[in-house]
Amino acid sequence: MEFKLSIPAAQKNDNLFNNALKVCIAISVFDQENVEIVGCAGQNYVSLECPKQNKSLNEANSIVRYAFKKVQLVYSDKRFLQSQNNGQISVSDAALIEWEETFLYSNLLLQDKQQVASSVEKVLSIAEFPADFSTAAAIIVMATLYEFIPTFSSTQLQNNYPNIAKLFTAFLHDDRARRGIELAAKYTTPKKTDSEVA
Amino acid sequence: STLTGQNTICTYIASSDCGDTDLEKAEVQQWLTLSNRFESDPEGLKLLQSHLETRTWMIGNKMSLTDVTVYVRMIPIVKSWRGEDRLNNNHIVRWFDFIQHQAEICENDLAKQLEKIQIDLNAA
Repeated sequence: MEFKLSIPAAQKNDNLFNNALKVCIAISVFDQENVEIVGCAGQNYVSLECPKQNKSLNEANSIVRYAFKKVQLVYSDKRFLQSQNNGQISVSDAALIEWEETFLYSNLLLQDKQQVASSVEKVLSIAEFPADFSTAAAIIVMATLYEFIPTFSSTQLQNNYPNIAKLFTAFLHDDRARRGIELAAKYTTPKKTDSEVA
Repeated sequence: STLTGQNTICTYIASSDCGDTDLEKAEVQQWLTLSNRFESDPEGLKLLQSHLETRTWMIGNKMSLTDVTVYVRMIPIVKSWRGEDRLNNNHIVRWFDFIQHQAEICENDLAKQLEKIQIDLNAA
């Protein structure tokens, strides 16, 4: 394998879990087959080791960005990615990513959820995510919202936050996104010790 | 259109100084992101200390956007460190002092206004 992705054990509603979601969904959506994924107890961050270059990335968004730049334009099943910008992150996507790094990072779990949702709704109404979520910005933002959005009822979402509802539904129905979510759940679940199994 | 976001603006303006390879570009973004959170996330400082153990510059072999940005964000942190903190973050402190005395910083009209932090690298 060309790369090794280390995923720490993490609880739901935790930044570590959120970071694991981002990178696992990216690996899945971008169809990266040259990445070994391992669980990594005792580490407080996700990391991508690049042995050939003797480097590693230890921050989830930068791993997603890198995975996006390495992406092929055609999935292994021959479908084209909806994102056709040759792995270049647009300025608008860079701004979206930074919005996630600042506003969402600081406010998602701390501020009034209706107020946060209103801000998210406004941003998502103008964000231009491809239908298959095959951009770094789409993955980063949607992964970050993954546990926040279900705290609202379907009625609340439909009535008050239609863009959130529409995008989240599409995201959950995307095969590759769903596979990434399953990967994150698998590798963030702490492994039981022998005594716990006994 | 109007650009928003400190990191986004920096990388847009200094696009030629944001890494030579895709991996270096990702590293640049990593440190811009982490440095935005240093004051609230000590894990990032641990990563920085480890990263600088074997490096003169943040990325590559010369002063770059990353050095400048991280340096500026580190000013209030290094200023607040005393004794044991500086000792425990010795690679950061060494790098910080190196950067603050670079010509690009000392001779820049805006950067001249930045506070120079007194650092005694020989202090035990």
